Amino acid sequence: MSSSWLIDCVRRILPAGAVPDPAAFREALTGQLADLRKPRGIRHQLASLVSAAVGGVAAGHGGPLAIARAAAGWGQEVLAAHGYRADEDHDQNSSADLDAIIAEEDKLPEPRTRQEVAEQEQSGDDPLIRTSDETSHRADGERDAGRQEDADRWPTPEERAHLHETYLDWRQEVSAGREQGMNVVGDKPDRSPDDRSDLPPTGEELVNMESDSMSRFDRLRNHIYKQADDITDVAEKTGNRALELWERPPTETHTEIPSGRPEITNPAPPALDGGQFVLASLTVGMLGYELLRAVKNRVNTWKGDSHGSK
Amino acid sequence: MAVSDQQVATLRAFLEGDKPKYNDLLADLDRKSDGLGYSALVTAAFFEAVDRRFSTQSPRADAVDYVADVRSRSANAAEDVDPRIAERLIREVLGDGSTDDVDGRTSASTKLYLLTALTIDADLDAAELDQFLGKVKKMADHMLSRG
Repeated sequence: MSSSWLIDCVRRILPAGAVPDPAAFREALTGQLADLRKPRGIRHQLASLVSAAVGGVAAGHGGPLAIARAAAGWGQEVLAAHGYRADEDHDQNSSADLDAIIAEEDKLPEPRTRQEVAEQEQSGDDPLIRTSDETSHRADGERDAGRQEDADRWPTPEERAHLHETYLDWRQEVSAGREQGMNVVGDKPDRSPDDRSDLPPTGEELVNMESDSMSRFDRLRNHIYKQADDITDVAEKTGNRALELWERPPTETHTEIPSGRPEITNPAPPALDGGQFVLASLTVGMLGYELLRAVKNRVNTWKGDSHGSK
Repeated sequence: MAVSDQQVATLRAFLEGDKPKYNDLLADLDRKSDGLGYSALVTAAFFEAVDRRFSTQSPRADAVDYVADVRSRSANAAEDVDPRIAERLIREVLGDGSTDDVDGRTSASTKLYLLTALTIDADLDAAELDQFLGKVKKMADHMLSRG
């Protein structure tokens, strides 16, 4: 239930200006409302808050903050009628309490216009700022009180010494006869404690491995009976042939056999192809032609010389 | 019924490759009374040797490669070992498949070849062979005690 929702309800049910008697109204509410707030944060009864909200709506205020501001001006008698306790510093605290409580329950403050915000900031009368400051101070006070309460609950030095001595006795009794364990995982901070890859298998793992192996071996049971009649014959014949494997080493090594001649020989020259044959013929033909022409020229020269001499 | 010391000694001579001693001890085994015990011993030895050489996560190709390697070691092995049956026997030990359709003679023959090769490859010294045979005997006794 939010205060905005409650205010809407009051507006719908009660006519404008109508307000029930606070004391009677609060008594009627008591026991009818289920208070779902955390007990730690409760400072006022829920019936008192509802009663104040109804009174604020009846006074024409439209939201929880407006009601809270109005309630800051209410007298102690009015507040007492709504169920608020009368404090000495009522005038300072009552409005802050209401603001804080209603704001806490709403979580969201009543919407304001930008102009309202600016005016309230300039005047220093911003209820949100005041509420948060005072809420903060109150929370600090509660924390201090809690610390003091916790400090009161701490055992005294004598009690602590006694507890420590009892603990040491218990530890010695429990670890009697045992060797101090070594934190192997702690020596390897860069590895996960669950990483057991380099550790021996646990007992459970050994049992599982053994059971897995035995279950696979059990599946070979029929082999024993199937080959029982022939095993001695097979062992005599095939066994002796199998033993020849000892005479030849495994093929993991390669034995080199030296050779009398080099492994690499000169390759045979390739045979002439057609193009090379044509080219060779053409070359030989041209050379022959040139040779014949040279011989013919020489003969003609000789003939000319002989005719000239005659 | 339990595995006898003579059966263990015979298998030991076989795994050591001591042919004369093996044949002597084998000749003393009775076909009827020693058949079941020696069969259990050979089966257990084959199981343990395969289990040490391979793992259940080994790919099938490992068994194929190994059988091919064994068959390449001698002409007799190539002739006597059916590669498919040998591979299936290895896979069966690793929990994959069954060789129920293979006759006992072929199964025993193939096991002896593979067992010989596995033992040679394991290169066990005397102490390791003792430990191997001790475990194998327990496995065989366990199997025989369960009937």
